Amino acid sequence: MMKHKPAFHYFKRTLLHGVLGVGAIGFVFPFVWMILSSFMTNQEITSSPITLVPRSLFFGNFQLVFHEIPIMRSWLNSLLTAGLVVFFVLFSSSITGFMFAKMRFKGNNTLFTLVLSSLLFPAHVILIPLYLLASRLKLLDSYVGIILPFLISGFGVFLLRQFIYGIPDSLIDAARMDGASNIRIYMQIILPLIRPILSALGILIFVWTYDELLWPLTVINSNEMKTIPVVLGHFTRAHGQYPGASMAAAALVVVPVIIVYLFFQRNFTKGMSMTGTKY
Amino acid sequence: MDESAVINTKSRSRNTNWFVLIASVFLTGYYVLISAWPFLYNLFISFWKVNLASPGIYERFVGTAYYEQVFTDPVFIRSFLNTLIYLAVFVVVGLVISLVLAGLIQRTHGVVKKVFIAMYFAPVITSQAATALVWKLIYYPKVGILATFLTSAFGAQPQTFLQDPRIALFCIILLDMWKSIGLETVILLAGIEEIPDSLFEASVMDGARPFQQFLRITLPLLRPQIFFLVVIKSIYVFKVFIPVYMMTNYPQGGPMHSTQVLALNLYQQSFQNLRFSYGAVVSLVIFMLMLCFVIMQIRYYRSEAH
Repeated sequence: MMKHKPAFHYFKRTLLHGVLGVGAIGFVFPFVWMILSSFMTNQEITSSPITLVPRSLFFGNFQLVFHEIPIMRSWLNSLLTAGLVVFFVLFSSSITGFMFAKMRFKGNNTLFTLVLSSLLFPAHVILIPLYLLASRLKLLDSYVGIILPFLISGFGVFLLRQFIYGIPDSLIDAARMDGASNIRIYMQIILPLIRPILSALGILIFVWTYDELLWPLTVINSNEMKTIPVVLGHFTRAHGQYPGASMAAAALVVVPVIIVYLFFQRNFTKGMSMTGTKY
Repeated sequence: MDESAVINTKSRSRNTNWFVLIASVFLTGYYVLISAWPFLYNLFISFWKVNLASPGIYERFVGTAYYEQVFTDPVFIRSFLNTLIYLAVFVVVGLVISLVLAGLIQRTHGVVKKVFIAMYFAPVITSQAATALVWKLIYYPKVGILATFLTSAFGAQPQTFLQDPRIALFCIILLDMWKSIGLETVILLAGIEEIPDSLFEASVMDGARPFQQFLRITLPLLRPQIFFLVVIKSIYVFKVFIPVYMMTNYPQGGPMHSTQVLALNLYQQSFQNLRFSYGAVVSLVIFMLMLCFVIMQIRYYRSEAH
């Protein structure tokens, strides 16, 4: 690098930024197009010389969305179910992760293998029995039914086990000397130390659950219980001829997430890369 | 010292037992209910004619009749082949692009780097169902934004994208790559940043060019990350459902079954046609395809475990 003249170096830098910049704009463009076309009339979107910017702000698409689907209720359903799943996964992963990492007992390895084996049976492999089970337990069309298959995550248990293993034994032994119970050690020593990995895993699980479609589609019947992806699917099926309305619905789903993302961007990428490289 | 140690182990074993016992019972119970039993049940109904209306729902034992039916069904065969095409394109092309991106972003610094990462990563966190709709509009036939762009920039014929059976599947794969490349890039970038700078510096002394550095240093040292991504992405592909479901018109998987994939076939047969036994067989096919990749994943986790 030192050998090159500054002018050449500058050229290289510009080229690098240019290539990455064009790609990045391409990556962000669908979001821009989503927002722009959500304010366009049907005619503007589908007429031949395409208009990039809406001629005037047209709110008909949003009116149709709010009129046709209980989008607020779907939002609530999605946030509630994804939030519950995050809570249960964080709780179950941290407590069993603690057990697998720091306790010696017969069958530790066997049980851990059992937990990992659950990765073999995603909803796709057991969809029909799961549906029959939910129907037998009278859980169809209920929040419990929606979250039932996602309460414990083999991936989460693995991740937390790895992380908790790194906590020095001396900390735990010292607490035991003082007569602390396992629950107390979990609450007062383990939990505060694993906060970063918990938030990383939490974000990941939230994004995954929020996006879940196959199982909710199977288990939900009524309009009131539909989560965001289910409602979007049904809405476009009914209003396929109004692309602007689909964009309005999509924008209502995507924009809040993007805003949260812009504020906590570092947490998102750091969390995801942490979980991605740790194993 | 000795005395307290003895007391300590005693109390520890007593506490541990309760803690471990309760947690183990919960874990085992949950997995029996949610994984093991449903799997065996799925296997069971694949040999039975199931009718939800009849009492006890099992009408009669039919042996491997449903297996023969599924394996000779052209729609199933199409969905199977499409899933394999999806696998090859999505995994290979996606990885190459994210490797190049990671290699380029590695050479940027400061705010510029952060902005680039943020932009490439944005699709990862947004809802797949919503972004699939956006891409459906981008692919609007003939007069849509992408068709117009391709026509005016390259003079291409106005394309119909999702309505063209020859390219519809690839259009869907492209959306899915857009969605996932950010995550792969970030994972690879984190891997690159763990490579000691001294290696790059030494290679510069030896006169290596950036491209050679990438081939000789970056790529070999990223093998664990690449391996992991191949496994994870492959498992994802066998389960792919949302993009096809959202982007193709009802009944999904068209035109002419050109975008039919296994998970969609499973859903349609089981819950739109109510052919549960057929669906059970498709489930088992997905399971068999995933099996060796998931075993690799589990072995990888176990080898990482201390």
